[in-house]
Amino acid sequence: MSVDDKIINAINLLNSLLGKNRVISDQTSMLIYSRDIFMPGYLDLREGKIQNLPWAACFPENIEEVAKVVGRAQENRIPLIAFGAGSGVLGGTVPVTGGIMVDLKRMHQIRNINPTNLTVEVEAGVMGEDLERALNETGFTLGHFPSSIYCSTVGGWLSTRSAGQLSSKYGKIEDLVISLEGVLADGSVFHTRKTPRSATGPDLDQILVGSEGTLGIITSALLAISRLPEKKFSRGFRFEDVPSGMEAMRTLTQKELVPAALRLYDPVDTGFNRQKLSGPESGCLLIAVYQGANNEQAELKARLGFMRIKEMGGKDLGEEPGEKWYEHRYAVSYQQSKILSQPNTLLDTIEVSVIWKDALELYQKVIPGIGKVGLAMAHFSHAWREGVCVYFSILVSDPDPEILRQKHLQAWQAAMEPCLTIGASISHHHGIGRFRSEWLKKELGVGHELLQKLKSELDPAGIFNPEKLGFSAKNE
Amino acid sequence: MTGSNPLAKGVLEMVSGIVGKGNWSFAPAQLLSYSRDLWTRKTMEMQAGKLPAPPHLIVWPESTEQVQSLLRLADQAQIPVIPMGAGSGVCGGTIALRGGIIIDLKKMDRIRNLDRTSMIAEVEAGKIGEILERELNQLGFTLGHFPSSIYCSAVGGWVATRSAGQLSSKYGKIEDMVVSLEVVLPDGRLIRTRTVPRSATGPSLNHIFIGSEGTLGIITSATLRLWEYPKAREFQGFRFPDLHQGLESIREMMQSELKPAVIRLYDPVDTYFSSKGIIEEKAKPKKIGLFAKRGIIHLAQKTLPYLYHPALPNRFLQSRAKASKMILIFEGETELAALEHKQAKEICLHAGGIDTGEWPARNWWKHRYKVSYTMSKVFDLGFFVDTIEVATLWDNLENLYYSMQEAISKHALVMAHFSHAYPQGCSIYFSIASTGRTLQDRLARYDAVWEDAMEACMKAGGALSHHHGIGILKAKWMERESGGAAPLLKGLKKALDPNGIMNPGKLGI
Ligand SMILES: Cc1cc2nc3c(=O)[nH]c(=O)nc-3n(C[C@H](O)[C@H](O)[C@H](O)COP(=O)(O)OP(=O)(O)OC[C@H]3O[C@@H](n4cnc5c(N)ncnc54)[C@H](O)[C@@H]3O)c2cc1C
Ligand SMILES: Cc1cc2nc3c(=O)[nH]c(=O)nc-3n(C[C@H](O)[C@H](O)[C@H](O)COP(=O)(O)OP(=O)(O)OC[C@H]3O[C@@H](n4cnc5c(N)ncnc54)[C@H](O)[C@@H]3O)c2cc1C
Repeated sequence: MSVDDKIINAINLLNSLLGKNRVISDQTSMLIYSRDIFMPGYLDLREGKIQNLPWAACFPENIEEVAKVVGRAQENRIPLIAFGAGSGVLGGTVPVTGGIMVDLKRMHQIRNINPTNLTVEVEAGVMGEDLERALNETGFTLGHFPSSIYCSTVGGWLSTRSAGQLSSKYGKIEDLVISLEGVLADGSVFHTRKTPRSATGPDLDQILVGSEGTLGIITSALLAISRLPEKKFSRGFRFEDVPSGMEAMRTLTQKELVPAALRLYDPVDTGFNRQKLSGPESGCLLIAVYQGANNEQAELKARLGFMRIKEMGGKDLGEEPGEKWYEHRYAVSYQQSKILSQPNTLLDTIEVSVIWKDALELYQKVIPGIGKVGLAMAHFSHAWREGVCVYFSILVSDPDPEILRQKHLQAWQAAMEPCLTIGASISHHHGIGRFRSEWLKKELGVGHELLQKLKSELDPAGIFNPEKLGFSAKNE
Repeated sequence: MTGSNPLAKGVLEMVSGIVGKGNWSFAPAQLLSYSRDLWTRKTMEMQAGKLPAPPHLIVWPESTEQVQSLLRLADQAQIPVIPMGAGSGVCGGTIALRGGIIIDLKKMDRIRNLDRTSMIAEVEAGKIGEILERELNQLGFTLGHFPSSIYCSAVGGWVATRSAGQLSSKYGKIEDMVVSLEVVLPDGRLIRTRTVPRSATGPSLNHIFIGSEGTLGIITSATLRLWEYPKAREFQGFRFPDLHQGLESIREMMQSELKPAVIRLYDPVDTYFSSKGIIEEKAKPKKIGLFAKRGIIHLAQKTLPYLYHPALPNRFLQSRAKASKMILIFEGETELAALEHKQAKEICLHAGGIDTGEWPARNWWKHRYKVSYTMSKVFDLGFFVDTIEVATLWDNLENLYYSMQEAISKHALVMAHFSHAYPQGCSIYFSIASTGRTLQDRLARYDAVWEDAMEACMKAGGALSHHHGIGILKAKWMERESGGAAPLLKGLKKALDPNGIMNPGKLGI
C-alpha cells in the first residue's frame, strides 16, 4: 500500500468510528501536531523545514471510543500517538513514523471531586489550570504546579512523570495517583483498583505512569488531592555559595522541616533573577515557602525551618523574595519566546536527579562542561529526603543553524554523561521522548532490554508512539 | 547419596560448585521444614499429618554472583526456583508447588553501604528485620518499618510482598522506603536500578519487582530510606462510643496532615475482648490483644463450644459491644510531635472520643511484637485462627467492613482493627477464629471463610490485600483484582521469565 493509500484508509476508518467532525487532517493542523516544545524543533520551524506530519488527528470523547480506535488501528497497523497539550520538551508527541494523533482534549471532564476521600476523578485531557481552579473553588488543591500548568494535561503529566513546583510537599504526579483507566494496545480497557494501598503484585499504575504513550493510552485517573492551605509563610535567604546553601536544603528535608517550595539558585541563576525576585547582590538565593492545610503545623515548621536556615549561615532577606517568586512562578517559562525569537540562539533546560552525596560533584562537573559551548546556570528545586533535582538552564548561540544544533547537543552531552558516570538519573521530570533515548538505554542497561521485551509483549506491532523511550520501531 | 534426589546428579554437582559444599542440602528434615510458610491452611494440614509440597533442594548463596549462577543453571535446566526470606509469609508464597530449588537468602545479610549524607542504606535481601533495625539504631537511625514479624522476616521478603509496619502512617509501607533495588533476573542477568530520589525515565523498574513475590526475579539487595532515630515519642489512648466516630477521627487526622506514627482503632468486638472481656488489660498487661499468645489460647478455650456455631456469638458480640478503643503514638522532632499530639487530641475530643490517657498506648508499645509464634497450640486445641487484611477508600470503608464482617460471621468469630491509615483511605485487619469437629470440617470452614470474605471484598470494591500479599491463597481473585490490567502483569512475566521457572503458581500468573 502506498503512503497516500494508508493515509486515506486511516482517515476513512476514523470517520467511520468517530464521525467526520471529530477527525481532522488539514495541513495547518498537521503542521501543528508535527512538533512539541523540544527546542531544536524551533530551528526546523525557523528554517521552514516541514517534517513528521501525522496523517490525521482525532478527538475521542470517552474510553469506549478510544478502545475502538485502538482496536481498529491495531488491526490495520496504524501508529497512534496519544496527545495531551503538546507541551512536552523532548519530542514525545512527534509522529516520527506518521500515524494518527489521539488528541484527548475532548475528554475534559472533572468527574468527581470527593471531599470524603480527598480524591478527584479526572479525565486525561483536562488542562492543569482548569483542574486546579475547579478544585480551588471547592476548597481543595491538587498541589501539582508545573510551570506549564496552563498548557499541559493530566494525561501528559502522568505519562511523563511530571513534577510541580511544590513537589517537596505534595510529591510528583506519580505520588498522587490512586488508580488509572485506559486502553492497552490490543484495544482492551483497564480500570485499576481504587485503593490507597495494596499488596496485590507489582503496582501496575507505576508501570503505566511514565510510559509516555508507549504502553497504553490513559483516559482518566483518580488522583489524591489536599485541602487548600489558608496562609503561606515565605522567606528568602542569601547563602555564600552553592555548597552551604545545599547543606541547608538537605538539613530541612531530613529534619521533617521541608517547605512546600524550596529552591536554591546558583550564583549565575541568582544574578539572572535578582531584579525579579529581589535577590541578593552576590552569592546564592534560597527561597522557602511553607504552607499546608494544617496551618498551625505549617507555621511551626516555618518558624523552626527559618531558624535552622539562619543557623546554617543563611542571611535573612525577608518575605519579599519568597512572595515574588510565588507571584511570578509561572511567568519565567513564558518569557522564553522573546529569547527564542532571536535567530541565533537556543534556550533549553535539563533537569536531573541525584542523591545528596553526589549532588555537588554533579553540579560542579556539568556547569563547566556546558560552559564550553554556551551559558549555563542552575537551580536546585524539588528537594527530597535523599536527594535533589538539579535544573540546568542553558543558552547556546551561533549564526550557523547547523553549528547551533551541534552546540545544543554538546551542551546536553555535557549534562547527560556525568549523570551516567556518577550514577544520577538523566531525567527528574521532563521524561525521555525521543531525544533522550540513547542516554536512557545507558541509564537503565538491562532494565531497558526488559522494558523493550514488555513493550513487544503488549504491543508487538509497535503501534503506540513509535520510537519513543528508546523502543525500536516494529511497525511496517 | 544424590541418588535419592530427583534433581539430576549433574545439577547437584553444579550447585555445589557454585555455592560450596556447606551451602546446600536435601536432608529430609530440611526439606520438610522448608515445605511450607506460615499460611494457616498448611499448619492445619500438617496437623493431620499431610505433608505439604517439599522442595528438592535448598541452597544458601552468599553473594549476588552466586545467585546469578544459580538462576542461569536453573533456567537452562528449567528447574523451578523459589526465593525465600524467612518464610514468615502467610499466603503460601514460598511453597514449592512443583518442587525445585528454594534459594534461601539468609546468608546474604550485610548492610553493604550506609550513606549518612543521603540517609540511605543498601541492605542485602536476607537481612532479618530486627537485626537491621538494631544495627541502624546503634548508628542513630531507624528504618521505620516494624511488621509484627520483625524478628522472623527479611528485607527481601518485605519488598517482595509489599509489607507494612506498625508505624506505617508516619513512615509508609516498604514500597515507600525503597530507593533502588538489585535484582537477579531469571536468566541470571543483573539489574541495579538507579539510586536516585525520583526520576522520569519511563515506567518504574523498582515497581516491577516490589510486590512480585518471587515470580519475576530474585531481589538481592535494596537501598532504603532512613530516618533519624526519633527524638521524642508521645502516647495517647482514646475510647469512642462507636466505631464510626473513631474512623472519622482517623480520617480527620490524616486529612489535616498529621502523621501519627501509630494509629490503631479496634472495632467493638476487638475492643470488648482486649479491654473488659476475656483478657483483662490492667490486671494482666502481658496479655493484651486477642493475639497475645496466651490471649488467643485463653479465648479459644473459653469460646470453643460457641465456635461450632460462630454466627451466634458474633451476633451477640456485635449487638452488645459498641465502644471502640484507639491508640495513638507520635514521634519524631520534639516540637512537631508535641503539636501533632495536641491537634490529634482536639480532633478526637471533638468527634466524641474519651481521653483514656497514656497507658493503653504505652502498654501496646511495650508488647507490640508479642504476637503468637507458638500458634500451634491453638491448632492443637482444634481451632484455627487467621487474619485477613484489605483496604479501600474512606467513603467505602464501613461498607467494606460490614460486608466482610457479615460474610465471615457465618463461619468464624470475627473482629477487626484499623491500623494503616492514609489521607485517601484505610486498611481493615480482620482476625478470625473458628473450629470444626473434624479436620475436614475445619478445612472446609477455613476455605469458606476465605471464599466468602474475598467475594464480599471484591463485591464491595476493596483491594484483596493491603500488606500480606497474594501467594497461593488469593491467587484466584487476582484476575478480578487487576481490573483488566492483567495483561501488563502477564506481559512482565513473559518478558522476564519465558521459561516460567520463578515461583510457579503464585500471584495468579
Ligand atoms: C513552558 C514550559 C514549562 C514546563 N514546566 C514543567 C514543569 O514545571 N514540570 C514538568 O514536569 N514539566 C514541565 N514542562 C514539560 C511538560 O509540560 C510536561 O512534560 C507535561 O507533563 C506534558 O503534558 P502535555 O499534556 O503537554 O503532554 P504532551 O506533550 O501532549 O505529551 C507528552 C507525552 O505523554 C504522552 N501522553 C500524553 N497524554 C497521554 C495519555 N492520555 N495517555 C498516554 N500517553 C499520553 C505523549 O504521547 C507524549 O509521549 C514544561 C513545558 C513547558 C513548555
Ligand atoms: C506472626 C506474624 C506477624 C506478621 N506481621 C506482619 C506485619 O505486621 N506486616 C506485614 O506486612 N506482614 C506481616 N506478616 C507477614 C510476613 O511476615 C510478611 O509477608 C513478610 O514480608 C514476609 O517476609 P519473609 O522474609 O518471611 O518472606 P517469605 O515468607 O520468605 O517470602 C514471602 C514471599 O516473598 C518472596 N521472596 C522472599 N524473599 C525474596 C527475594 N529476596 N526476592 C524475591 N522474592 C522473595 C517469596 O518467594 C514469597 O513469595 C506477619 C507474619 C507472621 C507470621
